[in-house]
Parts: sequence; structure tokens; C-alpha cells
Amino acid sequence: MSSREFAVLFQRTPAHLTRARVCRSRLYHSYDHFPYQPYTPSQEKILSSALKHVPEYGFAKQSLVQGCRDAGYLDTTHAVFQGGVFDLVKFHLYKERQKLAALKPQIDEEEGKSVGKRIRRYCVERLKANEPIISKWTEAIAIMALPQNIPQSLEELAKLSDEIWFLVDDKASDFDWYTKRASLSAVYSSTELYMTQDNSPGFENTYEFLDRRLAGVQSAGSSISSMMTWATFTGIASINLLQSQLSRG
Amino acid sequence: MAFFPRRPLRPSLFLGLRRTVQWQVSNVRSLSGSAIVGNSNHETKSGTEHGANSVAGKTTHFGFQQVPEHEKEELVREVFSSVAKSYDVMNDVMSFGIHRLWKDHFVTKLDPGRRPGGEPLSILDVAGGTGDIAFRMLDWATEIHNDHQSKVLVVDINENMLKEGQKRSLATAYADGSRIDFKVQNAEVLDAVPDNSQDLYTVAFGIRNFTDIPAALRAAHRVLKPGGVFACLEFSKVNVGLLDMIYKQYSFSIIPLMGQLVAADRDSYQYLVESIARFPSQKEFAGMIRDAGFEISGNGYEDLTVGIAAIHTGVKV
Repeated sequence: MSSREFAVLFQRTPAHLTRARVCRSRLYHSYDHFPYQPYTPSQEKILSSALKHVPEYGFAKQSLVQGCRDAGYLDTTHAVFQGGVFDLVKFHLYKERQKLAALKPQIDEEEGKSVGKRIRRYCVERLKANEPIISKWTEAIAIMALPQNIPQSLEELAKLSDEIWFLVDDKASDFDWYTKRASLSAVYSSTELYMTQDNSPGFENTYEFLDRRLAGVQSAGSSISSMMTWATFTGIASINLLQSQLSRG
Repeated sequence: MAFFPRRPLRPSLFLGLRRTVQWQVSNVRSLSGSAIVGNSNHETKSGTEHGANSVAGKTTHFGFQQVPEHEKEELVREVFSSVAKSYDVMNDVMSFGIHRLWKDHFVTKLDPGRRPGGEPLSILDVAGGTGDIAFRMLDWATEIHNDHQSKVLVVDINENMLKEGQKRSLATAYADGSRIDFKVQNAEVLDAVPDNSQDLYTVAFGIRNFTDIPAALRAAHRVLKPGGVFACLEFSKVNVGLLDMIYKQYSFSIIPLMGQLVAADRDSYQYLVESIARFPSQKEFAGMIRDAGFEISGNGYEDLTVGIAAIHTGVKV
């Protein structure tokens, strides 16, 4: 078999494999696949109409029912959402996360090269998306904190911080990958919680709070990395010392 | 099917020798984790059920037996006629009374009732002979939504079950029959229900007994209004390996025995256990709902009690 034939053979993926790959949840960012669409057009229509009623009715069944009506369906249609109101919360999180990518050109231009500045900007933009519904956001937090919803809520938070790190072109593949995402998740979720209690004009206290948390993480991050450098150096030096002592006999 | 000795088909449900053999088989399979008992049968079943027309001589499953399609309806009728009177006892025995919680949760989730600015609902409760779900839904509409207008049509293929429901309705607030109606109907046809007429279609612990489930799903799609919801509460597959093993042991050894002791009817209970084991998994069933033209949200189901039962929903758009 010529090398060319071999290559052709490899390019052809059996149909069932292709399908399995498309169906599998995406574990990494890919530029080759269409983004995964968890909502059908009709569900999207119902849920986005329902979100418009949240400032009035809160994250409650009533908003969902109003959304079904506005979208031209029946009052009973809300029963199709397996998670009930939690599906409405998830939809808000999903939608606002998806919107961040569109801001990338603007943020890249305005914030320059600094990773810290760009991270802050994405956090601010995401928090701003909560402003219209901030009075009802505690209800959403309560729903997300229900035991049966915790795994999915945490997953959504992890996806948000992964999205932000991806958008600032972070390509690190070492252990930092985890600490970066974990610390950003902690910063974002605590700031979001702070925001629900913030009465300052334009939520300026929230953004100051965000700055302090980010600065804290940065100094903790740099101490940890100097600790790691010191520990690695000392470790290697000790092994070398032992080896040289042993080889002398 | 290779595991089971071939035997002549007969309408009688008593299967002395066969049960012993099958009991051993279920034991072996349980040890292999979450393998579905009678899985190989299921493949042949979906093969026949997805066919366009039923042809004479085609078989379907009845518990773990293969029977001609036209006989299954009669066999299921026999089972339910014999258990109609002791239906509640049967459910309590099989689920330790948890079926009441599942049914309550089912109704809470559907949250039926007329809302301010909305219309009264037309609800179709299929295979709901004894009115269990129907009364719960009417109670919910009345008490939670102060709705005295929404109506439920209860249909069942078995007139004995319907009679039991009618008898029970006399003891409720709906005795005058203005909000509840009972009709003998085949769920695969529903010829007395007009197209696009129902807001909600419910079927609780019934759909696994249907001869042709895809046909029943298509009928559900036909009678629902656009935006109407199909909701199904049914026994399903336990999703934790070890618990599944325990559950299979329990269902195959204890339930038929309890049926014998409590209702003096071992064979009907044996059928019920087998029919539960034969029913498709949550995912497969969600796929069947989608194939019938419904739109599902997320994975389309909610597990109850680690998957012993599950609620499936779909919407007609």
C-alpha cells in the first residue's frame, strides 16, 4: 500500500465513529466543530421570553408560564422543562457566557496585552449582564444551591472561567491550568454574591471588590509559584547531593 | 431467547418449569452488573415494533415470552382484570408505597390547572383506569390554582379497571362527572379523541403494557394541541450497578411471592416484573418519544429513586 493510499484510508472515519464524536460532550475548545446547541429554537424562544418576565415575577414558575404564552404556546408547555425554574437559570448562565466571545475584538483592543486587565474586563462584562435581574438573583443562587442542582451549577461556573481563560488566549497546559480556573471561579462567584447586596451607584463597590479579589489571587499566585520554584530547586539539589555522596561510596 | 426452552404458546400465565430456568438466568445476568434482563428479547421487539404494518404471525413480548401480537392485548387485559380490585395493594407491595410519592411528584411537576388569563385545560389520562392520576390532577388544579373547570378524560383498554375508577370517583368531589369522564379506548388508536384537542397527555405505569408503543406515541402526538405536553411516569432502569443487582433480586424473587401471598395471583405479578425488566432504558425511551415527533428538553427524563421509575416529557411544537 502506497503512503498516499494509507493516508486516504486514515482520513475516512467510519460513520458511527464520526457520530459518536459529534455527540460526545466537548472537552476542549475546537475551531473545527460547530458550537454545541443545547436548546432547540422553540425552547430558546420560550426561555428568552421568560427571562424578560424575571424582573417582575422572579425566577419562578410564573415567569416560565408567561414565557410559554409570549412564545405562542400553551400554559402547560412549561412542564416539558425537566429542571423547571432551574432550566431558566441555566439558560441565563448559558446565554450570557456565549455572549462573551463576541466582545473579544473590542476587549483585545481596549485592554491591550495585559492578561490581568483583560480577565478583569471579562468579569465586569459578565457581571453587568446580571444587572437587570440582580434584585432576583438571590432566588437563582438559592435554586442553584439545591443539592440536586449543585453539580450542574458548578459545571456552569467552571465553563465560565474556562471560557474567560480561553478568551484571554491562555494556552498553558501545566498544572496551572487547574489553579487558574479554580481561583477565577472563586473570585467570580464571590463577587457575584457581593453584587446581590450592593446598593452603590453603578455597582462601583462590586467592581472595587472584584479588583481586591483579583489582586489577592495574583499575589497568592506569585507566592505559590516562587514556593514551587524554591521547592523544585531544593528537591533536585538534595537528590544530586545524595547521588554524589553515594557514588563516592 | 436462546436461554429459554421453546414451549407451545398458551394463554395461561402459569409457567411452572420455565420460571425456574428463568430465575437462574436472571441471577446470572444480575451478576454481570447493569445488564438488562432479557436484553436480547428487546432487540427483536424493537425490530418488530418499528415495522410499518403489523403482519399476521408477527410476535411481540409478553413479559419474557414471545406471543403473537394480536394475543398480547388479550393477555394484558387478563392480568389487569384480575388485579383491578387489588390494584393499590399491588402497587404498594411492589414499591413499598413509594409509588404514591412518585405520583404526587409527577402531578407537582406537571402543575396542571387554569392560570389567571389562561384557558381551562383538557387533560387526557391514558391507561388511567383506576383514576389515580386523574383525581390527583383535579385536586391539584382545584386546590393550588382554584380551578374548577379543567377536565380529565380517563381512557383505558380495560373496562374492569375503568369500572374501579368510576366507583372510586363517586367518593370524590368529582362524583357528578362534570370534570371527569371515563372511556374504553385503545391507546394506539384513541378514536374517540379529536386531533389537536388536548393540553396534557399523561400515562402513568401503563405504557410498558402497550403492544405497539411507537403507535401509542404517535396517537399521543396526534391528539395534543401544539404546545401540548406528553408526560409519562413509568418503571425504568436503575442507574447504579450494585443497587440494580439488589433491585433485580428483589423484583424477581420477592414480588411474585408477595403477589401470591397478598393477592393469591402469582402469575400476574410475575408478568408485571418481567414487563418492567423488558421496558426500554430511559435514553432509549426518550429517543422513541423524539421519533414520534415530540421535542424534548435536555435529556428528556427525570429519574425517581435512582431510576426505579422515571418521568419522561415531550412537547408537540
